[in-house]
Amino acid sequence: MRLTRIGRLVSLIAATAIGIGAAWLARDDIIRLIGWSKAQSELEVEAAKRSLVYRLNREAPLNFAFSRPAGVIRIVSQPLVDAGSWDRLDYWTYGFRVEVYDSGGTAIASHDIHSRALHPDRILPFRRPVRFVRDSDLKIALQDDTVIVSTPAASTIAITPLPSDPAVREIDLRVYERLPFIGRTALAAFHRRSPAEQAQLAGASALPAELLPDAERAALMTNRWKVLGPTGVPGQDYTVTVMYEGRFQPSDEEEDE
Amino acid sequence: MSRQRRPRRCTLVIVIIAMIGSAILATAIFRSLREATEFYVPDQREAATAQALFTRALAGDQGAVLGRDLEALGFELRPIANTEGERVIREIDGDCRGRGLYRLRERGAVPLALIAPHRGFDRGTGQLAEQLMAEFPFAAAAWNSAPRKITQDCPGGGDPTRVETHYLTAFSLAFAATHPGGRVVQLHGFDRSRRESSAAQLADAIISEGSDNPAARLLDVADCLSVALHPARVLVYPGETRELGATQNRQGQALRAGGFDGFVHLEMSAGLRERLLSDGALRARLGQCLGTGLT
Repeated sequence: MRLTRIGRLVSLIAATAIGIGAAWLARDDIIRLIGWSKAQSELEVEAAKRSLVYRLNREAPLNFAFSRPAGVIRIVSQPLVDAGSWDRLDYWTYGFRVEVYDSGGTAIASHDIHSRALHPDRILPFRRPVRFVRDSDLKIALQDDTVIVSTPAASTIAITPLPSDPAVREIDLRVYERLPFIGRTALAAFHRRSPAEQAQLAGASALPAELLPDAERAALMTNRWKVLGPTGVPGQDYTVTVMYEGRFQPSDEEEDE
Repeated sequence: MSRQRRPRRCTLVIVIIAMIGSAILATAIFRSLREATEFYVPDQREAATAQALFTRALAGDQGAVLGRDLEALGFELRPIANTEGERVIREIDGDCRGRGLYRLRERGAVPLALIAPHRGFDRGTGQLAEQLMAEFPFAAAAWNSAPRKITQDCPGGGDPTRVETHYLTAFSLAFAATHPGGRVVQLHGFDRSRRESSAAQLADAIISEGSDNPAARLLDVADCLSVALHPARVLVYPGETRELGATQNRQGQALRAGGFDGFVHLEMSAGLRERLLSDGALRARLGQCLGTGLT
């Protein structure tokens, strides 16, 4: 028996629909198979890195001053969400306002940044770093990276939170300024670094730092960012917390398997 | 042919025997030279006695008997001039056998003991402990009383952190028994250029408790230091670096074995030590962090 063209098309659509339906029904098992279950607790996380993050305050802006006029500003942000929403939602929408000032203190721009922070478990089911703050029940969604180009160059910025999803309790961020290394300046800056720092900079390169050509050495320095701390006194003018970043450790049961 | 070979074989055997003999002789000579140090290491019984005496001193025993008992161990107990309620336990004058120097404070003291076991060798750590002791109401401080290596002036060179029965261990155990919720902080210095990993080479401080599973109390201090000393890089062993974890530190081992979870091993780079010695505000932040959670 031979199917007509329409028959083949209908069969194909039916097979595809059955496949999609089966995948949808078994989605949790598939995620468990190729990734890690989010039922694991923070106790199983081995802390591999700690970073300082600065918390946005609804009452007063978080102020940052650049070491030199900044044409490009980078902000890495992350919302801290209710543990109750962690299992229900795939993403959380949040926002903050960045007001940019020149060296005379005149406002030159205002940017409302709205981001959708994704749930690390459901969207990226691979073994990737997990972030948490000690002694806090809040969960940290994936980070968002914002780059603002400022013309004229910015001298200071002030950041305030904007209305966000109800589950978003806090917003933590880090602000970076670009290091001004271009061409020969970049190469000279590379040579001024210690051998350990040079090795770290060249960590992602195929060759060790001492074997890299000058052009590649300079390139390592041309896209460098430096993290900034807010102006003022910690605990008084701003809140700083230590964010832990690690990876889930397989439990004994998993190792036995 | 065989007659010609015999003398050669004899010569070879003689040379081998001579080489083995020389090696044995050299080992014996160098061992005796190595052991020529007069660094005093008490036995278990003497260490237990010292621990009991330190416990009495830390508890505020003012009796003359304590002084006499300490003298029997080679120490003298003296009040510190121009201070109230502060005493020092030190080696009898002129005796440089590495027993240690201990300063005790009685009134309103925070239950924290600062220890600089490599004063002189880890440059600045001894002075830093002295400055912190003067600026904060910490209960006690201790220093090595002899250099880490033998010198012409002091034959008692040695490393107290490598000796299980050293008086420094006895003092640490006595402090832990007196202040079970307290903290024993050892200040050390490290040379970045001698570290193997780039993380340690770029670090300003490495904090550990000598175990692979740092307790929450250590992380409290580490987090405080990260904020207080920023932009200095403070790393925690073993998560952020696998070096300088103090796993072989005898005082840390003894304290952990006794169930005390307040041992802190703080390694500082030369640059950070210099800044701390000259910058009172930075040093104040360090002192506050070391006292985190203690009342």
